[in-house]
Amino acid sequence: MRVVVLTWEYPPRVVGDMAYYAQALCQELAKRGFETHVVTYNEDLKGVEKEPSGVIVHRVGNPVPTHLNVLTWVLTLSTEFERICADIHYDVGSVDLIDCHEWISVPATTSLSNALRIPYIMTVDSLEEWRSSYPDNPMSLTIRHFERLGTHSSSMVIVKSKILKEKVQRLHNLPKRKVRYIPRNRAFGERISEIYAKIGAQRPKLVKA
Amino acid sequence: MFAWEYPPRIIGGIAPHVHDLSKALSDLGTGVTIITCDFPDAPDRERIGNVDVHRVDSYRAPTPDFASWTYTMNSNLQRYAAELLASGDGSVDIIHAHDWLVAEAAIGLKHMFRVPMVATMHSTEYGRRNGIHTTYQRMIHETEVWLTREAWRVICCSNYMASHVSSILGTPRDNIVTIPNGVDLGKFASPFDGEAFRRKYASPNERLVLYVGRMVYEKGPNVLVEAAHRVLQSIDAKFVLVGEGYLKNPLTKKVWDQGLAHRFYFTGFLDDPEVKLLYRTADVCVVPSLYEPFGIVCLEAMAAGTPVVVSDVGGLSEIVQHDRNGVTVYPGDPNSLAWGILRVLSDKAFANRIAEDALKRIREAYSWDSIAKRTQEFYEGVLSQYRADQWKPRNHEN
Repeated sequence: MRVVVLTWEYPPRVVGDMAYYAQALCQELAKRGFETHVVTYNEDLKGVEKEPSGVIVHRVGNPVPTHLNVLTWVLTLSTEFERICADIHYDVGSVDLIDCHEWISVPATTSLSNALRIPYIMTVDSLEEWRSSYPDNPMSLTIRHFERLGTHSSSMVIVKSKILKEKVQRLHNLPKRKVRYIPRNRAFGERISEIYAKIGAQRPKLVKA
Repeated sequence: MFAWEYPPRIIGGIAPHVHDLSKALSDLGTGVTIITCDFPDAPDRERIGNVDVHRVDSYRAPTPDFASWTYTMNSNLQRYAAELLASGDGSVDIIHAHDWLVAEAAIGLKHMFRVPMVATMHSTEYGRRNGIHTTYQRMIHETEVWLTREAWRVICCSNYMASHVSSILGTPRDNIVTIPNGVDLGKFASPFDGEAFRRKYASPNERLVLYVGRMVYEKGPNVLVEAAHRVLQSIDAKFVLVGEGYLKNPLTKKVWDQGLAHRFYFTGFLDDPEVKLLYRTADVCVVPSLYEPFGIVCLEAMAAGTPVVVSDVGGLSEIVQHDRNGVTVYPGDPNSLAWGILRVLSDKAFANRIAEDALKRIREAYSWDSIAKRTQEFYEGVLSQYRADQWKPRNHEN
């Protein structure tokens, strides 16, 4: 099974904890036989690298270097994510599953899911409501729009803590069984690969515009 | 075909261009699907002739600025189009993007479906702003560079614009094709009561000088205002300026201060049919632009049989031949512009002759039928290159 993980941070580019989480996740998947590709941003290390773990990392730059804010930056970067994921799909082999890390990967993931009929799992690390001191400003509202779109149209939402599970569920009005908390313990790899194998075998939900 | 504006949503020249081009293309048998932004009271999906129009939720919640909205709107358009194309009833051979405003959607779809994407560059940020001065402008400029780099080939509406795009955006010159804008002569043929219509805008003793365009620096309405008192020294005239923009209020105040308010009529935005009738009623149509990639206003005035006075700049220089089918004047020079206006208004035989010649030229070179044929040939050229290329969508067995 071929999995593409879309994340804006992956070691050595570390912004927060998500980079290490994405790396651990990819290594666990690769260990269990998933062909795991990571598409990530790194302006200085553009290109493809196969890690010793077997994870294939595709690092891209932003096609538009100058930006006003994180939103415009994310939305042009998304197109590069789409390009790389489509290239994997056509040149390497059909992608069975996308792992969408955070709202930043939602614009690319939802388009790819519609275009190439790939199901996706949304990984939520934190929420704009928590990050922003003024969550109703236009910027935060747009980010929250993407959070909502991503969680709603995904096949499953994976979170990193119990409190986040409750919060995401309530905030986005999601069914209980759709949001899963997978603790990072010894069973993490096994549980996560079971879920990924199951979702990867499904047909995607269509994401309305 | 992707465009951020399509009638009834009309902001600038892209909407009428895309409307007329798509109609003419579909009349020739090319299936055209338009993906555009939604608009109040306009249906989400509509069939206009053989053109399939999809108006997509353009994201109406607040965004920090226009560019953030544009990219978010692109994300919505792209997601919708991805679903449409993948569903089978929307498979396409070519994606055609109009300007940077739909770059992100078109580029992403190009890669996700491995379909050739072409772009029409109607103008550039560099040209609109007379250079790149702010971070905001640089971002748009870089998006234009990105779009033209990703496009299989680029269409510009004049040779001037093709050279401009090549030098400013770095697009190889042989990757740019010049296909002009067109004009629909049928829109200027309906019968109307000219006398009564004229009375809405000017007194019987006044000659009607018409300006149509956005009230912005690059279009030069300020040059026309400067030129007015020189014209009025010799002739009674009413200056009718149609269009909105940031210069409208300052110019209204200026003519008031000069004591010329009774000689000016700033109409604001007018409906297309009303503008068409104004073209036909005017004694002269003035296009005083400082930057003009093409000059659709000039073309429409010529199609209406009205003599034109234009700046010798950009695409206007390619349409108007001085003293043959119009009068060209120095850009940004009120004296020269006043001279041009008086040249037309003071010699009726000359005015009639250049207007007739202009109409002939429009019929020969700027009918939508001939432009659609050239666009179709352009598509065919792109497709034959694409067929010979290895870059294709491939289906894999798992």
